[in-house]
Amino acid sequence: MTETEDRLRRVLHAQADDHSDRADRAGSQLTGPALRQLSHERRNRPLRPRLRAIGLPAAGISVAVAAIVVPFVLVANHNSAPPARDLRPGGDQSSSSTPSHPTSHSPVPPSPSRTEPPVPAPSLSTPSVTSPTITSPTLAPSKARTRTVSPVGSMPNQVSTPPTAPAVSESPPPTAQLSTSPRTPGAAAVTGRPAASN
Amino acid sequence: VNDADQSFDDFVRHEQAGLVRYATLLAGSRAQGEDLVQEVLIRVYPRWSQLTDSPGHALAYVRRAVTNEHVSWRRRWATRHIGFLAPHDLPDQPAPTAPDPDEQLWEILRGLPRQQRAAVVLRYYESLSDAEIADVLNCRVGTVRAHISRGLATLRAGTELSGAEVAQR
Repeated sequence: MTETEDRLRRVLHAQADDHSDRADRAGSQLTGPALRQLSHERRNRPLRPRLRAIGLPAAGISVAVAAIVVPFVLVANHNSAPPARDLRPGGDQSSSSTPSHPTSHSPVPPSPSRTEPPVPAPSLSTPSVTSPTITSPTLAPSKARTRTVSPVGSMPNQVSTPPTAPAVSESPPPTAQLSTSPRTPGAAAVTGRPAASN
Repeated sequence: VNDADQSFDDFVRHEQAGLVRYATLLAGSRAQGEDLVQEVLIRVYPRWSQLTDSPGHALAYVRRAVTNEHVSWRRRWATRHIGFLAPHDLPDQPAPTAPDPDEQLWEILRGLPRQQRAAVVLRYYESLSDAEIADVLNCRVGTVRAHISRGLATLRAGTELSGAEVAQR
């Protein structure tokens, strides 16, 4: 043990004894029943008198709580309202930047144009699924693959879907296919992309 | 008075002197030490029946609570309370020109950061081991050693010890 540690130990005990002697002369106020009484009083004391005891009246507390809570409520309402409004006027602009893209399109189709197209829609949707000429260009953008596929599959399908076959044989990028497919009025309403292409 | 209350009264009667001494060394004054112990005992009493299951558990728990209360209490109350010197804290005679080395060491000890000070007091007053101090302070043993080492270095530098002791270390 070094001299510092020895001195430190001696000083600590001397200070403790010194304070203890003074406390013994003054008399200790810490007794079990008194502490139990204080504990009971603290637990049973309601909150409002405690706040009033430190100078906060009830009206002041209400005003202070309202001043804190009301701005948060207003901001929360303000933040929750805009997404529904932004979708209508410029759905394509807001959807491209915000991650709520899939949900932004769902409110748009309920316009009357969606209820009408279901009749021509099956004629357009079935070729896109059954014919390999439509699905292969959208999945593989390479032109070499579309040229090898289209001669084989286009022959039987051209009979059923004359307007879509020329568009696929040109093998445009997927956006070109979407722009050409809505030639029929029903396709534009089903896909909901005419606004995006424009 | 039920058994728990009787046990609490006995604990206060037997242990409060030591707890107040320990809290006084932590807080730096007798009045603050008593306030510290009183606050802790008031909070501990509602859960007293849960602490008396094992014999030494209550004292260790209360000592740890006093230490934690000291750490948070200084942070919480330092800006709200104005410390007044008690009559017995006032010096009876004018301070000497050359301070007593022990008093100088005590003043430097009072200026240590609270964690360092608690570690030093637990080591050199309560004579606890590093592992026991780590349990009280809720930190690692290495952290305890670092606290004590830095505290001693501060005390040593403050009291301007001779170079012989530094070489001895």
